[in-house]
Amino acid sequence: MAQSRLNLRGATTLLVDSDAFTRGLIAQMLRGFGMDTPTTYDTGAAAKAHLLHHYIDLCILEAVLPDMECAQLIRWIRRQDKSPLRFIPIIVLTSYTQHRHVAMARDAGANLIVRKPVSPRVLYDRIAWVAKTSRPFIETAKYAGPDRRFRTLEPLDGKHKRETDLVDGESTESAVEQNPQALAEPSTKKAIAS
Amino acid sequence: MTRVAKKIHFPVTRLAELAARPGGVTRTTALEEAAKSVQSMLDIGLETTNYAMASIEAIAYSAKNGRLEAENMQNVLRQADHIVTMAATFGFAGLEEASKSLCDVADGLLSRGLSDAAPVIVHVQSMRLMMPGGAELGEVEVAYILAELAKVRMHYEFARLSAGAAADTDPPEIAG
Repeated sequence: MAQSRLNLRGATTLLVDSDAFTRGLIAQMLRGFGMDTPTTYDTGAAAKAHLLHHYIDLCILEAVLPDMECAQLIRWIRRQDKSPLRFIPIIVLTSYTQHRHVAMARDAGANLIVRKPVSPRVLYDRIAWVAKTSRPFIETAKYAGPDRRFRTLEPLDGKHKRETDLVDGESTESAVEQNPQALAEPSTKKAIAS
Repeated sequence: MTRVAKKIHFPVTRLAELAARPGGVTRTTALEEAAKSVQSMLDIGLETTNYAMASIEAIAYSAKNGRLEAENMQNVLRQADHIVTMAATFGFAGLEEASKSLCDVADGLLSRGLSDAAPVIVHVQSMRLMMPGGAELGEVEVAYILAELAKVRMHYEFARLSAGAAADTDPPEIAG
């Protein structure tokens, strides 16, 4: 089967990471995916200043920036009322010593968290996922960001959809036994295992 | 029962609109191009790793009376974290493990307010042996060194930073 294509040309990315090597590495990967060269910064304050005057399509942040936690920056983005900026997909990168900040980033409204080192495969799949999957955006007093629950609806296999589909002599119970997903509730899992 | 004020939006992002346009590249092509680009950064990666290693060595060997100040320990932690990322990116497994162990030790020392330089120095010496272009170590030798570093962590009863870490957010499979 032919692979589907993803056209990311023209997509603008803001990449904020304190490490110059990581910025270079991610920028190379994004160019490889056909995206524009990202705008890069090493501090949260510089990123904020950029966002006040520019629209971006994707934001990639390091979990801990030299001048602030990424959670602070994410909350600020998610609370930009009346601006489409608040809906932008945000991917957070955590290094080995930053794993403990994962829950904080999730609760601030990050779409996905990715551990460093980031491989092209992991980054591409995450970007493709945020581009192809629409998630409701929840706004409450304590949280603004994408719905943190993933709903995985597996396609039905065409069998056992109705009582009438049962073959002669087969009971509903045995049909369910053979294909439990056919009648099961759609599975829901948390965005991030914390 | 109190009701929580909640708004739900169903935004279509510009990224989604762009990605849905005709044209573009397949996943295989995108990954091949990205892998080539990453490999082209190997030299820069090695240079950066050497720089980080030299910084850690300078700090570790400047310890006075076997003690390191908290600020220096923090710098060791930061540089070791960079080395973990770079070693893992380019597949230097031994160096990756040794530098992770140094991160565990430096973080443990900092969180307990200790300033011992010896566990840092022994890690630095081990990492130097495992640096690309350093001593040519076999798998058995690398495993032996890593086991000795594990004893240092056990001596202090430091937990591994990766132990309580949450997993990557794995999005459901993407077709194509």
